[in-house]
Amino acid sequence: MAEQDDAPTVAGRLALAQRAGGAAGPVLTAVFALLLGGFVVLATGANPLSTYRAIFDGSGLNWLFPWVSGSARSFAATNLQQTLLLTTALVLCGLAVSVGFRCGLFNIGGQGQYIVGSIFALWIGSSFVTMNGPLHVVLAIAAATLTGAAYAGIAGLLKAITGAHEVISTIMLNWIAVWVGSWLVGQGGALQSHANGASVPISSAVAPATHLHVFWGNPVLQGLDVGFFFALAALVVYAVLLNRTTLGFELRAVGFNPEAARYAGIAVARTYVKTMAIAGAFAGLAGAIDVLGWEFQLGVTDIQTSQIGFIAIAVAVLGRNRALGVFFSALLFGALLTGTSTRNLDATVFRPDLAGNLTLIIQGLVVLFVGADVLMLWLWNRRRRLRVAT
Amino acid sequence: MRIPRWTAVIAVVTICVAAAALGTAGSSNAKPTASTTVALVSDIGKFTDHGFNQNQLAGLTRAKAKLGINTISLQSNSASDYSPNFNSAIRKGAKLVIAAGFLLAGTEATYAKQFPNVHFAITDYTVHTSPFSNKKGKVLYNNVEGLTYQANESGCLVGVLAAKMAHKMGGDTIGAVGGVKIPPVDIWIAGYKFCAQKAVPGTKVLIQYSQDFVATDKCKTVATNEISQGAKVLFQVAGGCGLGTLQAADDAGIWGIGVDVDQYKLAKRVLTSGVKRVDNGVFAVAQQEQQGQFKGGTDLNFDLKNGGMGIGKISPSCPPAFIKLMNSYKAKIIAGTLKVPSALK
Repeated sequence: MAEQDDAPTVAGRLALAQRAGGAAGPVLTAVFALLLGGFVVLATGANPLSTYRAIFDGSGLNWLFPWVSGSARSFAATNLQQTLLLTTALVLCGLAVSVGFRCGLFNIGGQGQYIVGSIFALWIGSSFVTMNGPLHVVLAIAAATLTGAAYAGIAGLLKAITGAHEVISTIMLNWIAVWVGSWLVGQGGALQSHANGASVPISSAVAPATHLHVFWGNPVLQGLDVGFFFALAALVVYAVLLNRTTLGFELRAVGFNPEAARYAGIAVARTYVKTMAIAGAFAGLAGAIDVLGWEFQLGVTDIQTSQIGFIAIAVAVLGRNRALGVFFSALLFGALLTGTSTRNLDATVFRPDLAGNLTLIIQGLVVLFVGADVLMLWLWNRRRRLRVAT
Repeated sequence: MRIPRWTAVIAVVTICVAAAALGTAGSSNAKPTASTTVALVSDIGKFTDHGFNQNQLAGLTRAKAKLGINTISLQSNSASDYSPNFNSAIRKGAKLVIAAGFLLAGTEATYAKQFPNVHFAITDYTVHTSPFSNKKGKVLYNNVEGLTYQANESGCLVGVLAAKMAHKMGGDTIGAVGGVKIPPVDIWIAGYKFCAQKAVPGTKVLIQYSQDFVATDKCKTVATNEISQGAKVLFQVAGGCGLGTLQAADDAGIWGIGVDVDQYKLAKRVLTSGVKRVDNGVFAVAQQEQQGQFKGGTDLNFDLKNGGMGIGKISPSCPPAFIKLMNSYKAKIIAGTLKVPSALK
């Protein structure tokens, strides 16, 4: 059979996974990761079932059940708002990684592009305070999106012109973003707050007029802002772009086989640059939405410890680089992060300091299983063929 | 079309099992208690940082044991946890919420405004500055108390020992390896430098920053650099990163000085440590709260005099004469006759 010969190629594996049926792989991956995570919980002497239930309740997803009422319901609402705030950023950064994968590029630079976006949104948002509110917001978001695109475009350009591998260049660009950002908001930096002699490495806050509208929860106490709808819209844009436009077709063609795409008359180098720019636009938008939605100011340590762009890699991988998949896996990781926080996970159920690592373990297993579940599906397909043959 | 149906079955079963296992409402654990509840919110250093945050948690734990109060500790794993953690503390009935450091200042101000009946405190931060005061220096919230530390005083004492030791070893150079150039770091180094040069005039003080509070290798690199420039004693002011400084001092056979907590046991050649009792601050403000003596709108200052600052175990290799000299500095500081600068020029 032909597909046995081309099994090692990326395109072959992708085709195999798709033939095996959309959601099976990712769902199995998530289930296995949670199962193994459960064994880790068991090893610490806690009960995995009650731990997972506590995490589920802590994520606020129990808000979806109509029988949850009273104070539990209002707790659930606050928790779900936090889960969805994280989901928003994870969806957008996840798309930044996904769009790269679809073009055969491994964009590890989501974190850097996110930081660049957040810095530009912060700069615009905390300057020009007399500007008309809505215009100010649009300007901040546009600046963040465009600079994110330009920043990722550097990696695309380097790949297109010199063949420099995007994994290396995006990792290096991440560090450049971290340190330039730290310098800007740090001691003596251009964006550092100087209000009233404060001399800590934190930026000024963005103008109140630029805060995104909070449609669910308390606007002062980090409720859910309209940035969530930006993320949903971005998913639609992503799906349409990839499946219904010429650029999307070219992008996927390059992803399957750059040589064949070149032979078919597609400008491969240009497609690389465009793809990276699109990726950067998604991540930059995420940065802007976080800054204008709930973060409002950035400290040096906030910039240096943010992990959203890296978690997004697992989001893209688990979501199989498809819009719907990215949404659900972003929701899963957002829920895990919120559900394992110390405020939500009762210490008598599971030690919260370990619970934070549980999210990391599951994240790692998901990435690890990418190869494994393709293998699993391949075996599954072979088994079927054997059965037909006998 | 067998596979998609199979997929759907798996998906449905998974969802049903998940819903059944996890689905029912979370119990609301509202146990009415007469005693005071005090909450501590960490910054993103987390409670496992072997220093600043963990030490404050120790203070809270001590307050729980000795004062019989209820305590809540909330760890911030990322910036997105700050606000929900404050929210959660208040919803769980905390009468006093302590923020573990300046990173939480903005969030704390928001909550102080929103909840005027809840008390707030913040470690290592004065209420006489933004965001707790306006541009004219007027305190905005009378439900926030600052917990400030005169780290320059402890820095001074270790500086005296450092300069004398370097002199004894035939050198005139000592060094400080800071994490990031921020006031809470520089206040240590300012005292260190000032008193080192006062104790042994002409002492050269090298000051460099690793730009990190976690990665030990970065501090080790900076420390090695300073050693190659002739430093005989190195003061680490970089939290966990600074273990690299102490190791570098070990490797080179010179002396290291710990920070924040007593780090005597963390390396073989630790001269002493500059100790900042952030646990005492947490304990003190919790005690104030319990006794109804919370003083919002002011700072609670910790120094050598009230035991909020100190130094750790001193190596037996340190000559008693040096310790005597250091104690004379300590007496002068406590008496108010020696003023130690709190910022680097």
